[in-house]
Amino acid sequence: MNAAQQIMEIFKARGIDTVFGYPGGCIMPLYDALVDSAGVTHVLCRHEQGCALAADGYARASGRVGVAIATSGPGATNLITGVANAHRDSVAMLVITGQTPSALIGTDSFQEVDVLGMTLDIVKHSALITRAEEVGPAIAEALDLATSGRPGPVWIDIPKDVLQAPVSAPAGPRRESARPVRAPASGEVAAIVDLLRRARRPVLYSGGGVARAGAEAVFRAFAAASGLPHVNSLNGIGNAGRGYVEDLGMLGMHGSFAANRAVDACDLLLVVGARLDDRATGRLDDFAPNARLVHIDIDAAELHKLRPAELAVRADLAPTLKALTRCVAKAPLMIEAWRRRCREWRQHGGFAVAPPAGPDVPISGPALIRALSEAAPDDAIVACDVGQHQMWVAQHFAFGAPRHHLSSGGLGAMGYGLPAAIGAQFAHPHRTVINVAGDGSFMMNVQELATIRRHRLPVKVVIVDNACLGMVRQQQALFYANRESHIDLDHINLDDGPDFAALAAAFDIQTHRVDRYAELETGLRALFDAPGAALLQVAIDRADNVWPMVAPGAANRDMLHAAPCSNPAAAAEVCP
Amino acid sequence: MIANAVVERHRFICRLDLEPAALERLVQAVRRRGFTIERVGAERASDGLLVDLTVSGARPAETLRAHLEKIHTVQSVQRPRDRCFIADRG
Repeated sequence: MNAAQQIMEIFKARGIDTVFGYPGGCIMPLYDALVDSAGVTHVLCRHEQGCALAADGYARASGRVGVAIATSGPGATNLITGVANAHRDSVAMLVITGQTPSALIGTDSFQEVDVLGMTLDIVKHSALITRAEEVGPAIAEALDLATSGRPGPVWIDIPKDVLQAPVSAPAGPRRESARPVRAPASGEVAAIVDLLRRARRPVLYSGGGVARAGAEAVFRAFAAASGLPHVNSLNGIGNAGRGYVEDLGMLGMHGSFAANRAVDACDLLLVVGARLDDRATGRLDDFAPNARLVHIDIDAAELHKLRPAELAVRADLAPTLKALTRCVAKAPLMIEAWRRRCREWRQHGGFAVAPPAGPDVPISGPALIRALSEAAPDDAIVACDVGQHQMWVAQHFAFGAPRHHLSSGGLGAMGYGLPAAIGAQFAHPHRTVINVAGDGSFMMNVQELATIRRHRLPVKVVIVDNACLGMVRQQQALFYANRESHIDLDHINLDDGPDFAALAAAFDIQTHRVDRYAELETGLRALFDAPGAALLQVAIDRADNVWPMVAPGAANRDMLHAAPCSNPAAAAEVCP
Repeated sequence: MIANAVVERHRFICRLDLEPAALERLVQAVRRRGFTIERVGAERASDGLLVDLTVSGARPAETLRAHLEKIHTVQSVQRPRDRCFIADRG
């Protein structure tokens, strides 16, 4: 057995049955080992970035580790965006790259780059393996590390000659990789409960950590037992489920008025698995200005990072929330007046969709996503790209669970959605997986249509087509005096945008185009009735903006709203 | 909080695994988290690499310490004010 074959044995032993990769010179020994590895399905993506993002989507949708494989040099550099994406959103991933043979490392040889050096900041850990007997232990350790504590990507770079060298040693981890994380001390739980009971206006703020901790069910139990008004970050969408009556939705730059208002007015903010990202907090000095902060996170480096907490608890969310649930269930929190206030804010300050002016007007982005949400199965998985459509999905699609919503939150990587949808479809072959893309984002990893065709994946693609880079256009309109700069994707005079129907047809994917409200229902039916992959191109009004909005660097209480903003350029002056 | 903070010096004694890139990882994290290295000394110890690090920055030193501690190849990070610092140094 050589080291490459040993990696396959570890995959089988660990239940890793799906990997996403692209072969090349220095990773060939691993691809040779794949030939004899019947239990491991290799998905040939058509660009290494697609491999990493598909592995990310697979991991987020399944809760398992995603595996991405590529060769040295350009293979490794092409992976970087996808790995950074996983790192920023705490997604468990194992990355394996081939490296130039040991004797050539450091000589600027063909397809050689310093993978270890250039990826230090985007991995949870990484290693260049120099001896064959270290390969198995390093892979085992990487898998433990990627999935333990705060999950993240671990990158193992292996020279070609090392992959080919014989091994005999058993492949246990090199060292204990999962640093033990204690359950919360009883005193910490009591202190949280004490602060909750003393608060008159408490708010629960959850993030992506809930799903990463596998704490979805216990989180809902805690929410139900406490009855706390709840807000979530982008990656926390779905945490509360569809039926939680105290849910106020997403906070932050494109959050709901109700969520931002409640956080602004609260006197206690219980932060659970969220990292107070700037898109969520707005101007930090004005974030929850009257609140004591209680912060629970598995990563000590997130506690007190941006704002000192009154009480910071480093602990696994699941046992912490279980303990809190037991405490609040014994004696309910007496905050009914506050709950009523929050419900009123929600009633008048949720995400609104204006009714269409008629059947023949262009469809608005929010109305499209509402209709998509109503037409999709309850357990559909939606993988977004990045931009206006991403925010409309966050605002208007009703998610029942956090693993149903895949979005590039921390990195904000356009091109995420299509490969992520592919990964999610491999994780859940029988569920409906939808990629909601913008006409800009879709082109960034459009080559993955070939992966969809190869594997006959029934991924449903919805292109929200406004013929421009809409989010950039919106901010140029609002904050740069409407001076549009290089945002047209389908030039108004040249009509030079891509023919998405012809593009999809090249990959044997059924397409449908919708331009008016009257056609939307038929278009959605065509999308979901198609037996396999299908693409729905929906032309929306180029002038559509995402509302509400908090200007970058402004306080969340200073939200810009659509109503007085028929002239978008005037919004910043009118609305605050 | 950060904008109004005063730049201060902080000293950390770090024990690292003896592994390629362990020192690189440590010093990169210092820069990435907004601190400047004023002085660094490193020597091999029986169980790894001992790094004596002095940094300056306006952000909280304990936050940097938490970032350094979570690096997989970092065994421990101590500051001279730690109660166990003298004993451990011996």
